[in-house]
Order: sequence, then C-alpha cells, then structure tokens
Amino acid sequence: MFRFGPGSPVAAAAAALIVALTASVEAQRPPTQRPPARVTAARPAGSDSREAIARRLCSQCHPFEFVIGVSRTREQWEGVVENMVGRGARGTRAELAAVVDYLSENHVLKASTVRGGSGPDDKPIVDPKAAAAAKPLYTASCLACHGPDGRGTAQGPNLVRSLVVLHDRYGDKLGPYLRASHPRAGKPAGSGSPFEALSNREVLLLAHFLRERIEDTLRGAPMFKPGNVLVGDSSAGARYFQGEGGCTQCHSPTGDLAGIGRRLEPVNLQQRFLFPQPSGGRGRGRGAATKPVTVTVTTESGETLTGALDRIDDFNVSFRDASGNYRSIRRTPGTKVVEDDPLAAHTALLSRITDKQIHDVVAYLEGLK
Amino acid sequence: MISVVLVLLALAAQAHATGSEGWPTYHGDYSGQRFSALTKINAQNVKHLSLAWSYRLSSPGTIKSTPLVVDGIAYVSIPDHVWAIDARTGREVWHFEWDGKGGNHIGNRGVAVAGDSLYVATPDCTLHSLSIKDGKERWRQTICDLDLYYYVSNAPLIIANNGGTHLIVGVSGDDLDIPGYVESHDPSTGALQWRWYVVPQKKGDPGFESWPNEDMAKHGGGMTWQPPTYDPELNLLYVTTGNPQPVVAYKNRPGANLFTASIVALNPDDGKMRWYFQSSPHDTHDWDATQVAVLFDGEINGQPRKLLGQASRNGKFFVLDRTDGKAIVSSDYVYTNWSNGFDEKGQPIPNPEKEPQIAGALVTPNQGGATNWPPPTFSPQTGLFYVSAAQAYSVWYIYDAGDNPQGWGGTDRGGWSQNMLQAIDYKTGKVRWSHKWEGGGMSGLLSTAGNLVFSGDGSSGNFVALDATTGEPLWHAGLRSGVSNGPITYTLDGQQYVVVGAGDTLWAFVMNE
Repeated sequence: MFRFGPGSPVAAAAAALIVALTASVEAQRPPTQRPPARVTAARPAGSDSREAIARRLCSQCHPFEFVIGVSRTREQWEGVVENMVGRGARGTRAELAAVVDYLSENHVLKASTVRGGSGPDDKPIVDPKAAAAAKPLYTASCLACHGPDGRGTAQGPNLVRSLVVLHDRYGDKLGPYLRASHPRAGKPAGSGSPFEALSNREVLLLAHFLRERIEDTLRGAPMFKPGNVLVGDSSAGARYFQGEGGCTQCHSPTGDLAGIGRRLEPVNLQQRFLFPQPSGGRGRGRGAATKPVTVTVTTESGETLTGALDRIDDFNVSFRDASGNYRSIRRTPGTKVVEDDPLAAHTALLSRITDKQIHDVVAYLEGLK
Repeated sequence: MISVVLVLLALAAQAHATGSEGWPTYHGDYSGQRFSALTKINAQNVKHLSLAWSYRLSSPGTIKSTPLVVDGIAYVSIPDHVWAIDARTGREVWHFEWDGKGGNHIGNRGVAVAGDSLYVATPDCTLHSLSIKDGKERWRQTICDLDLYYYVSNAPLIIANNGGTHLIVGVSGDDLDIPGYVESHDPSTGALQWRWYVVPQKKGDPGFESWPNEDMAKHGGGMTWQPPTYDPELNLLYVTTGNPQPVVAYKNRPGANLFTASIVALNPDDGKMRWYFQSSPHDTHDWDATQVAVLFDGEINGQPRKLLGQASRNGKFFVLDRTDGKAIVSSDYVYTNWSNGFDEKGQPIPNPEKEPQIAGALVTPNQGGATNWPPPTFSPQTGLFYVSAAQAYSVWYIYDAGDNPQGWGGTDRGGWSQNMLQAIDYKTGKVRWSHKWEGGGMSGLLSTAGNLVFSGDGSSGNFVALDATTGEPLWHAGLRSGVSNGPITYTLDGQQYVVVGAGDTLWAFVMNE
C-alpha cells in the first residue's frame, strides 16, 4: 500500500489524510509537552517488544525491511502510521503509539552536522541509507544526462543548483515535477514526462540522494579530505633539515623525531612542523604547550623575575615562577619584559620557506619510520 | 514621510560632523570614516576616562553591531534581536525579538533609523520596519531565499536625495553557489525599488566576459554583507562585494570573475553601476573585498581630490578617485606572498603558485584575512587610515580536484597569526606606525579630533585608547571579553560618551567633570 499511483483519488485522499492527521496530532500536543529528543540506544533486534508489535502490524502488508528502509522524522512516522490506519492497519491505541515510538527512536533522521546552522530550520535531513538505495534508480534514469554527482552534463542541467531540488522537502516538489514536467529527451515540450510512473517511495529515495549531493558541496563535508601531500624530494628535504632549515638545532631524526613518519599522517606532519603552536596564534602560554614561553621581567627596582608565561598584554604580565607561585606585574615604563618562545624558530620559517621546501621536508619526515 | 525625508536630508548635511549629537548610522555618517569631531575626551585627559554604565543583553549573543544613538536612545542588535537602551543610563527601553525560520546566525551588523522608524534584517532573509517608540513591527519583506542558504547579517542604510528615499540592504551566504545582490526598498512600505546583481545573470551582462559560461556567472557569489557608504554630492553608493563561488576550488571559473571581490559605485536611484575596481581579481582564498570603502577628501600631488580608501581582506590597501574608480595608491599594509605586483589599473595580479594546491600552499593572509569585517577609521586630522590587521599564515588545500568543483572544494588549515593596529599614510600607502597586540583577534576602530584612536586588543580583553599620531597606548579598561564591535562616541547633556560592545555587554565610558 506504499505504492499508489500518481494522481489517483486514493493517493490524493491519503495525502490529505496524512496532512490532516499529522496536523491534528501536532495541534493536540502543546509545545511544552513535546517529548524531548530521545537518546535511547538502539536495542538488539528482537529484544524490543515494540519492534515485535511494529513488525507484526506492518508485515501484514509489507516486508518489514521495506518499511524501515527509509528513516523519517517523528512527525513523518506519525503521518505514515496514521495513513496506514486509514488504509486498514489495525491495532490498539497503545500498540500504534508503540509503533510510532519504536520507529521514531530506531529509524529516525539524524540532523546533518555539516553546516547545521546554515539554511532554513526545516531543511531536509539526509538518510544515507535511502540515498544509497536510490543509486540504482539514479544510475539507470538520471546519470546519463545529469552526471554521477548531479552536477550536470552537456545533456542535462546541474541538479545541485536546481531550484526544484533546493526547494524540495522529501519529494514534495520533486515528485510533481518528475511526474508531470520533466522533459522527454528529444521530444517537444508538453510531450509528457518519462517519469510519470515513479512511485512515492522512488521519489523519496531520489530526494535523499539529491540532497546528499548538495551536502557534498558544503564546507566541512565528509568527502572533503586532503589529497596527496607527498610530492616532495626526500633527499632535498634531508638537506634542508640539516642545513638551511636549522632544524637540527633542536631536533634529531634518530632522537625526538625517530618514527615520526609512523605516528603522523603526512598532512599532519606538514601542519605540525609549520604550526607547532598548541592553538594557533603565537603560542603564548595557551593550551598545553609542551614547552611554555618563558618570560623574564626586570622591575623598576632592578629585581629580576622569571617564569612560565601565563598572560601578557600592553599593561600587565603574569607568570608562574619556578616554585609554582603566580606573579602578576604591571608594565610600567621602567619595567623590562623579555619573552623566550621555544617555537620562535618555527615562526621565523613562515616568511622564508618555499612550498617546494615544505614538500621536501614532509617527504623526508614521512620517511622517518 | 515628509518628516522622514527632512530628517534624512539633515543627516546627509551633517555627514562630516559625526557625533556632534548622536551616532545616527552604522558608520556614524555616510562616509565610513568613523571619525568624530568631538574633543572633550582627548589625548591629554583620556587617562581619566571612567565607567558610566554597562548593559548586558537580556538574551545571549555577541554584540558585533555598531549601536546607533538617536535622540538619547541607543539601538543595538544581534541576530533576531534589537534593543533600545537609554544612552544616559544603560536601561532597557524595549526589546524586539523575532521568531526566525533559520539562516546563519553568525552576526548582525546593526540597524538603520529614520524618522520614527527603525529597520533591521534578520538571518531568515526578512527585512523589518519597527516603530522606534516601542519596537512594534510595521512591515516586513522577504529579501532572499533561505532554501538557497542565503541569510542576512547586513545593517540597512537609509539615504535620501532628490530621487527619493532608499532603504539599501545586502545579503550573505557562501555555502552554495548563488549570486550576491544589493537591493533598495521604499522605507515607508517596504516595496522593492531595484536589485543589482553582483555577478552577470545572463550572457551579455556587464562583466560576462570574465566568466567561462552563463551557469558559472549567474551562480558566481559576491555577497554584499557589509553596509555601503554614500557620497550625497556625487549621489554615488559605494558597495563592496564578497568572494566568488565556488570558493576555494577554482578550476571551473577561469577569469577575473567580475564583479566579485570589488568596490562598485552605483546610482542609488536606479541601481545602475557607474564604475568598479576589483580588489581581488579571480579570488581563490575566500577574501571578500567587503571591507569598508571609506570616503574622504584629500590632497594628491598638491591637488584636492575626492578619495576612497580600502584596506582589503587580501592585505592590499587602495586609494581610488571616488568619482571614477581610478586607482591612485596600491600597496601592501601587511606582508603578503600571494601576488606578483599590481596591474595597470592598480589591481593585484594573483600568483598562480599561491592558489590553493592539492599538496598545500603556504599563504599569507589566511582565510580570516589581513583584516575582516571590523570597521577601520580614517582621521582627516592625522591623514592616517587605521585598520585592525593580522599577519596570518595558513596552508591552502584543494580537496575536490575534479573539473567541476562546487561550493567548498577546498579550504585552509592551521595557522599562526600576529594581530596589530596599522596606521597607513593614505598618500603613500605606507604604514606610518604599527602597534602589535599580544592577544589574537580583530577590533572595530574609532578615531576622534581629540587625537585618539579607540580599539580593542583582541583576546587580551582590553579596550584601549591610543595616541592617533604616535600609536602610544594612553588608557585602557579590562572588559570581561574582547571588544567585538566598532566603538562609537556621542554627546548628551554636554558630556561625551564612548560606548563599545564586548561579548554580550555594552560598556559606556564618560569624562566626569
């Protein structure tokens, strides 16, 4: 009963019913009584009596795996269950509530962590499982014109930039478009759509697939990963390390750096040798620096104090002395403050090292297994 | 409506007498100078400046907006909120809260006030008109499409001239590949007057030749997320535009990508472009050129000139003739390593080797830029352009090495930075003095005829007054967090106030006599 033909009276009535029933369920529940986001851990299959109820009720008409093949929001599951009741599913009120609870807790859409604060609050959430399930259909029906990632070809437009796709919510715009308005290749406009027979489920799967393609373009998307940074000349890197770079003043390939190529990914090796400061900035006592900045203060009276820098600005300096005592001193015109940053040599590299030298050094360090 | 026009004309007339009464626009006036002629607080007595009041927002947020002060009331905003505060006492008069529908809540630059109306844009693409009496909404308009990941952080600007009154507002959003634009609305009804697209929307539009095809051009970005400046005499609106899209992975958009990362002069009556200057041709480092186009009159080779200065996010400083956009000075205000000099127009020439690479390219500035949105200041008294700056390095990577990257196919990682206040001689573009800050982060600036520059010192959390001529720090106050907006000054009852936002609190200082 998930499959109902487009434009049929049954489909329209069912859709209206979903909306009406979902709305009434919402209306009966003031926001303050809205159940909090549940964090119940998924239970092993079969151990949840609610699952048994869901399996029993749903399996009367569908394979259960088909039902749970697409994740949905709680509101959407409520709509589906109400819809099924309208189509003859029978259960007690408590059983139906248990089905909604089970499905909402175990097969719920999880908000994307990619650019979560951008876009509308009600933007669609991708179900990776549904997006994956759409691949055979996309490959067979869409890929030739729209390309493997939906970004378009000479034969078809870019779907990532499609207003129909960007305005879509779980197929509500995509479905009507695909069934009624999608052009037929090689035929004049108005010749009917080649996708008139797409089911609601197929539309929903495609909607998830296309939304996932959009998310693949957002900053921080999981698919965005560094490429190959091992493009340098290891022997040139060794020469730089021992010569111009001045690295051996503090480091040894057989001492502190022995095995460094095993411990760090190449891109992290590159980052660490260029920016060893614990949290960006100038590494002035921030975070858990392995070697803190030390500061030597000569006061107006001629007293000299030294310690690990805590904080410094134009007006005051604070530090912990060798005994662990906290000291705070006002920077008057007669007060002399000298900082000793153990990472200063790394900072000095930034304005003179070339990209080739960087790649050579990374290749050399990577070889220190 | 007539009263609105009169107020606006009066406001335009006092464009260069900032702060003599209040602080009526985002920049204090149309010029973007953020220079006040007030002298009650000055380099001689600033060491006695003391706290008048503080106001902590009644809803959590960070004050990035510059407050307006009109008739003794200060108006301050964060995303979805506006407060009216008694500028004498720091007491709340009213609070407007909008139940928004989404959008990036990264910040709100501020509001516009004209007559008895206040205008504010919220992140969910909504432009609102409120009554300044009680904050009640009068009208609202949707100005962008949330589903395309647009949002609004901009402070609207009201201008009035013989062509009517215009409520100017720009848009934000660089997640998806979408075009930037700036709009003008009728302040009394909200009706759209015109929209100017930053990037060509069809073949043949101006700038189209700088894009490979129509699809790339019309999705080419260029957000207008900072308030423009305006010259009432020339009747030119100076709009600054953001980075092109796709942002870092640039393979499918060869060309200059006009009019992204540019300064453009528009006729505010019809939204038509008069001239442009591109601060970052073919940007590949997310370096918006939305930094303030500061308008000032100066002297070049003994001749009086109408000038425009910008310290751009890419580390370059430009002085243009603001009548025609021709460059007079192009220079570096911090060390940069990404360009091969300047072209015949005075625009930087990008070095292809310092574009993002798969294996990484070490570039300065970093993505945050040599400066960013915190507003600079220009003092006609010293002839110096002051900007909160950073010498910042990071490594830039291409993550999507395909032929058709979209959105964010790369980024920068890591970094080291040194923050500083740069005082630039506009005639030469050379840094006259530089004051390094121990803390990280940037600050909005204010200069006054009392030979002072006010700035935050980043994460150190101090609000500092410096000698505008020498850069020597003369006074400071430790606030709970770093300065997060542009400081302002105004007089009430003969007393000069300086107000600054730091995190969720406004701090007001006054010279007690």
